[in-house]
Amino acid sequence: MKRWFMVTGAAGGLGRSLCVACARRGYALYMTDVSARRLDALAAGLRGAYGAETRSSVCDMTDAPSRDALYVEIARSGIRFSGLINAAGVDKEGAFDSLGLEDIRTIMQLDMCSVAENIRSILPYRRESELFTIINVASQAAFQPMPYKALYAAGKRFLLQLSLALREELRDSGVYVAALCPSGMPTTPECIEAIGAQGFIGALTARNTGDVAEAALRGALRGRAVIVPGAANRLIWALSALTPQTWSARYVGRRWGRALAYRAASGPAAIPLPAPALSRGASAS
Amino acid sequence: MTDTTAVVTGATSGIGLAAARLLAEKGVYVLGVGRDARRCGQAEYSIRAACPQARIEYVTGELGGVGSVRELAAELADRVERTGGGKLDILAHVAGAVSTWRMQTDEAYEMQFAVNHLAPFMLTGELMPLLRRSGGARVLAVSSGSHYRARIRWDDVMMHRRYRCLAAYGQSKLCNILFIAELARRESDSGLSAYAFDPGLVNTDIGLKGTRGLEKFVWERRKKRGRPPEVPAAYLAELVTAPEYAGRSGLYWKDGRVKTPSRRARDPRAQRRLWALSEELCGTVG
Repeated sequence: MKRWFMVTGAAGGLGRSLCVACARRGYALYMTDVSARRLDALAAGLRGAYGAETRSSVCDMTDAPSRDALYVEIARSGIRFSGLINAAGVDKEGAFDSLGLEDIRTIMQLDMCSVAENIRSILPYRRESELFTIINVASQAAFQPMPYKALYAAGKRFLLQLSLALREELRDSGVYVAALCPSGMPTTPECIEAIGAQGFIGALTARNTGDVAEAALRGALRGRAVIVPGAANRLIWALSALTPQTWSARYVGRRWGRALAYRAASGPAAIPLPAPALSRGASAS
Repeated sequence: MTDTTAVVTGATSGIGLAAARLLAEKGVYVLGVGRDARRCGQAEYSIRAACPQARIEYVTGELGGVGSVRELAAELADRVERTGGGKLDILAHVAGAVSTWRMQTDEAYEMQFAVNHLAPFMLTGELMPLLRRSGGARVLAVSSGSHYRARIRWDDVMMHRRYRCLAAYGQSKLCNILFIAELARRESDSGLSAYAFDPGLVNTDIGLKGTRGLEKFVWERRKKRGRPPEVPAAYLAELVTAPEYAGRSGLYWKDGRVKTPSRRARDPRAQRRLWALSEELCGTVG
């Protein structure tokens, strides 16, 4: 009998690496995402590179009826799970009053509601009398309030609190709950641009998704509560724990306010373009 | 050379663009491959401006991804069937990628491995019927001297853990040589010749488009010492057209001469192993 992990947001940047980290350890994967095409490609890649068994369901995690349909499908599949990774998440940066109500609903549905519902709905289908591992992908944004990312940071704080509380509640039934709190990751041209805009700190804290995913699996399977990949990031975590929240909020507000103003003022012409993240062309030795 | 058909990838800038132009000037029918339709248009325009009688067309295609390479191969095969005389004589894999951050394809394959090695492997495989029809086809992959310091991370070729830009680049360029050697062995009966090609240090933008920080800084300094791309492009064009190179298959070439690649690149077991691994990664077995 194969051991199954369920992964949401599987076709995203970190999602793909988390699937690889599971597949490397011999787990079979039940993957969901909004894009059927990208799920198919990922399934083919995991089979080709790791011989992994996979199943995929297209699901829009921002949409409650779509989630309900997924839970029905899972119940029918008869699969018993060894773990759940909530990797689906979204952010929309910018001043709070620039967000539309639709943006606000999407962020809250995806970053909070879907995670709570997923845990509640998958737990009944856990593999009996074995450990069950839950990884909730939060963020370093969970450690302090973040002006200009207010909703996102609050949502990630929600995940951190939820994870820590459930961890105690479920401890005796053999469930490990871990909150993964990575910093920026270079997954898309926009993310790479955002890391660049943060200058030295961005370069120091950013980690490749593969290393983050490995740290996540390694930590979660050992029962760690909070996983912060990278020494520099752990230092920031320690510092933020010692700083009054009002102070950190003010500091972050200044930093992000400046960065946003800079990016807005320099405009698309001056910003190193949402880069062809890769070069295609001729080769030099 | 007017009944000769060639496919050149990475043909919108650097060595690929220069090689496409040189081949077109020799009268070869050239199908250039680029990622961006606008840049393909510019490249085609610049070649036609330099050589009005050139027979050149561009095909847009994405090399980072198994599915997209298969689509590109189908499009190329269709063009060769319709306007290229139903046979492919020259296939030059020039496109290459460098990335400071670890990027991945939709298959969760590491981008440099996918673009620099898997794409040439797949394109060659998919176009093989057309290459065999040529009777004396030549396949060339642009490798690099950086393969000398490289090794293959067999336990983690995708560098899922501890990705290093230059280690991944060197690995992909080592793969080019292993692939060419094994291709030469497998196709020795069909008259196909395979060449691994070292362009030397060239003044192109390959190391600037996807890199940041220190790597970008170093590359900017190094490329100034590099030769213009027309120099290796001329050697490349000779290698795939001149009669004296026919049949000298499976070797590593630099500046028109055979050079000994690294010990790891000459290991026949590694050549076979990479081939089998690549087949699995592309889903072309079974």
